[in-house]
Amino acid sequence: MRLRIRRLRQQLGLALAASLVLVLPASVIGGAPGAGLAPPEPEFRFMRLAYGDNSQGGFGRFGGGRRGSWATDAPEAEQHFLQGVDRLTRLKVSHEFHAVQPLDEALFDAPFLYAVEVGRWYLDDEEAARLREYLLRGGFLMVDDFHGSQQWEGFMESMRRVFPDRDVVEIPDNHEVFHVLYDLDQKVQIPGVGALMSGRTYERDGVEPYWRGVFDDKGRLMVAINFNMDLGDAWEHADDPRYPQPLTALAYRFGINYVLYAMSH
Amino acid sequence: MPEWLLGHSPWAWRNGELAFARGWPLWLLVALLLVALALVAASLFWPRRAAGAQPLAFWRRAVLGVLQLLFFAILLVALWRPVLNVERIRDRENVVAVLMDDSGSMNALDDGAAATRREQAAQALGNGILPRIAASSELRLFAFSDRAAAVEDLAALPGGAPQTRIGEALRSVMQMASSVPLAAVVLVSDGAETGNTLSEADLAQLAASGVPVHTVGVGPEQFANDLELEQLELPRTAIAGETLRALLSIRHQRQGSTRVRVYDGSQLVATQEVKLNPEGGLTTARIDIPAGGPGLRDLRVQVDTAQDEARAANNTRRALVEVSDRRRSILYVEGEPRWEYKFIRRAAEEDRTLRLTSVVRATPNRYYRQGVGSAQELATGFPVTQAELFAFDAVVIGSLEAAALSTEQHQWLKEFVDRRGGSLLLLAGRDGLGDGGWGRVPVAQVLPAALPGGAVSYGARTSRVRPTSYGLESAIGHFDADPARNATAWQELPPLADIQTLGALKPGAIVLLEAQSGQRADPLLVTQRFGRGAAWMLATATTWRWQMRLPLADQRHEQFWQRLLHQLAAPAPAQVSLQATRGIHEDDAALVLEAEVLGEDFRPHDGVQLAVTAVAGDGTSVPAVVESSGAGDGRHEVRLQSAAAGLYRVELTASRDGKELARTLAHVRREDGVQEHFAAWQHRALLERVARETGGRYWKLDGLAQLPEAIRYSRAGMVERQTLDLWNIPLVFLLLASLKAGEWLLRRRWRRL
Repeated sequence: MRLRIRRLRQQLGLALAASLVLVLPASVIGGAPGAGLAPPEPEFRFMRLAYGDNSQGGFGRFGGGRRGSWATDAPEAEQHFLQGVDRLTRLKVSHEFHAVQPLDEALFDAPFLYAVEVGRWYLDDEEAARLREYLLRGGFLMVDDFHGSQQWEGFMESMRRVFPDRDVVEIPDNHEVFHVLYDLDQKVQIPGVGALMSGRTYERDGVEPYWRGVFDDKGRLMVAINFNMDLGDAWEHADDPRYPQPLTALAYRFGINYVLYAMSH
Repeated sequence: MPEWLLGHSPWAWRNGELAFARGWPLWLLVALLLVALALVAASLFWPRRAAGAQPLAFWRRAVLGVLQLLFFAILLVALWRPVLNVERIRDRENVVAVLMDDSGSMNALDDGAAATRREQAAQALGNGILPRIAASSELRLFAFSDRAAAVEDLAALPGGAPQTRIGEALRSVMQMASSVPLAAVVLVSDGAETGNTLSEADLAQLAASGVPVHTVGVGPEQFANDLELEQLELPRTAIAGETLRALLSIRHQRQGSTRVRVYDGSQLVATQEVKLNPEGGLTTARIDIPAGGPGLRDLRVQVDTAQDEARAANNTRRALVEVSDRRRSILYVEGEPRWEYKFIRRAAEEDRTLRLTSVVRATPNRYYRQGVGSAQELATGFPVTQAELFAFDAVVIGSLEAAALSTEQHQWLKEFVDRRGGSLLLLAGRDGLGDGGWGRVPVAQVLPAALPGGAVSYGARTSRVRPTSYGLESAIGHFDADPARNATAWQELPPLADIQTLGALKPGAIVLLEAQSGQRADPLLVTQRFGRGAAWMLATATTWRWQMRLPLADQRHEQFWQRLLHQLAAPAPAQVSLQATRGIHEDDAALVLEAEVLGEDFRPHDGVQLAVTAVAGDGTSVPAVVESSGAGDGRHEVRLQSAAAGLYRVELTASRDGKELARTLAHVRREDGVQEHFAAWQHRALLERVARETGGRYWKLDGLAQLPEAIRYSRAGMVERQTLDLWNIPLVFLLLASLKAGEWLLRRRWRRL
């Protein structure tokens, strides 16, 4: 009998504690949204472009899965980079992995797009038109990790389909994208980890790094092209003591500047 | 009922009071009526034994009883000598004033008429009516437009006066009542009042004089084939390059469509087909007009004249718009990088008339600024002086917690709305509105809703946007001039992804847009006036999805934000302003402009001298008088002594201690002979109201025969009381005879004679 009374007391105590938690104002216990509202979505999604690959027997199409060229360095690269964004800016970011195919309607829900290994990408006419529409509506594309003249041609073949009437030009040093937060006057080649381990900073014949871009009619940068460098590797290996910290820091700074530029221009 | 049957004039019956002249007590009459009732009942219902006779049915006896009782009742009432006490004017001792409308609208030759309205009226009155009035009273004839003037002959008026001020005319004639016995006033008019002189107070004043006004309506009550540009609304000022939105009201009875053309001087600047309301009445339309470059737009808006339209003068209205090259200046402060920030900026950049200065807090310590004028401007994320803040016309604040600003800055923001007359827009966000603590700072007082505290109010909810009726009246609610297409344009907008609950709306709040999610509708875009300015709240930060989800050619996102930003910034007054009370003064010689001269802090400053120069279109100077309001509020009135119609250029210079502070320019146009062409149909309701309020009667022009008799029984002027016997009128004898004859006929039919 005593045991039963003690149990009853324990149950009542737990119920009372639970009811207290329920009646406390939401602000006191951490801020649940108001009636009928789900928590707001994070403002920024790091969205990978899941393109079709051109290296499989000519120009193969996207075959699904996450092991195509588009998924290089994923998800560690963005995981590390977004932690830096979180720490260094006031931007509210999503830490989940996001990828989208060019013809997916969800493309238009993420105005920032990251495409890696674009020397191997392939966009057909429909996909190119979709990407062109995305960029002209206000989307921003950052391309990374492609090296040498052969990969440049691979990149440009699809890029010319996206913008047949726009030139790819060098981004001038005084452009806002290099100064929106950090003043990136130091144009240092950021190498891939493979090249770095072999004692070089470049791959193939891509000795010189280039920061190129495609601009819209108002002079706004729509496509930021990091040619002959690999920011993704610098982010991915930010926790690898063998990868030089100054290069990682610089890669973070470039990335953050791209994101802030994309969100303000 | 015919007058011979009633024995006296119908006007005696209408105006007289019934009474009993015998002086016997009324209770006796009632008692005798009861006795009569008893006798009749006893004679008909008392049980009798009549051999062989079948008694009459109950209802038949009841009918006979009613007839007998009515007979006795009329006899008994007649014994008490019922009379009609009436007042009527004494012959030859009173004055009757006749006012003939001499305005331009009375010159109209209406459809199918051989004579003008005034000629028709003069003919109708001269056709025996005025002589009959003159037989018992002295006639005084007046013509009136803006005031009444005595005339000899109503048929020989010049006509075409530029105004119709009925109230003024009646008041000036009523003043006669204090010196002569004025028995009645006869007002002959189409009622097309142009001077707003017949307010409730005006009518009460007229009624208080006790003189009945008999109104005689002239002209058709509507025009079958006419198109009239009844109203034209246009902003008085604009920024070079922007689009003006004109609101037109076209009155018509015809169907189909018409074309509206807008000219700036002689140059066609806009045209639009307007589909007329198939039920007739009023059709409203909006037409967009390019403001063009800086300078004066002397606009003429013209509705095409229909093929069989007789009145073309009422198809055109004019408006002046002062176009300046000053861009509307807006400050946007964002507390965190957000897509909404980017896309608002892009929309504003598309509009050359907007100057958006923005700052976003990129990191906890670094602000990224765009559109600033110097390296120091907004370096700390917000204006550091009141003057710096007041230099903007509108302020937009995004997801920035209120605590990021100092107490002083909060006070400036409140005064920015209240005193400076700017607009403040708060956007939704994690640190916006209630969640950012904006409900607990001084500026909360100006906001249109009491922001909730406590629970988080910002979150994700998919919802569609729907304009309210207020929103549809605003430029913000219009993607398309066609209502059906406009509704579709809103319905098909991509859904929003977030919402912030705003809390209880204040009494002055106006909801322009709602966010609809299922059956639930939340206020989305809300505003309220506060002081000289306005506060706005937008409960979302995902309108950028419209831009990304809609085709590149679709401009709805850009239009929404450009119109909203204009709506915010346009009403903000300048430090020194000069504006005519009306751009176009129609038939009004008093040209008045309002000037306001304030300092950088938007407070009136002492020791400011004002100089005004006014020049007519031909280059001649026009005298102008500047008068301070006397309230120390920096407001002044500028009056031009304009001698003629035309365009006047007025320049105001403000200086202190010999140093020029500011110079501003305004234009005003005086046009004569305009108002009489508009709303020129007969306003019968107005004429009936004047007659009703004063104790007179409304008369049609073809039904004036009873007017002289009605005037004879007026209660104003020199009157005499008359007691008219009613017992001997033919109706009484006819009733008595009819009752007895009826009873006799019934008895004969029922074989009970």
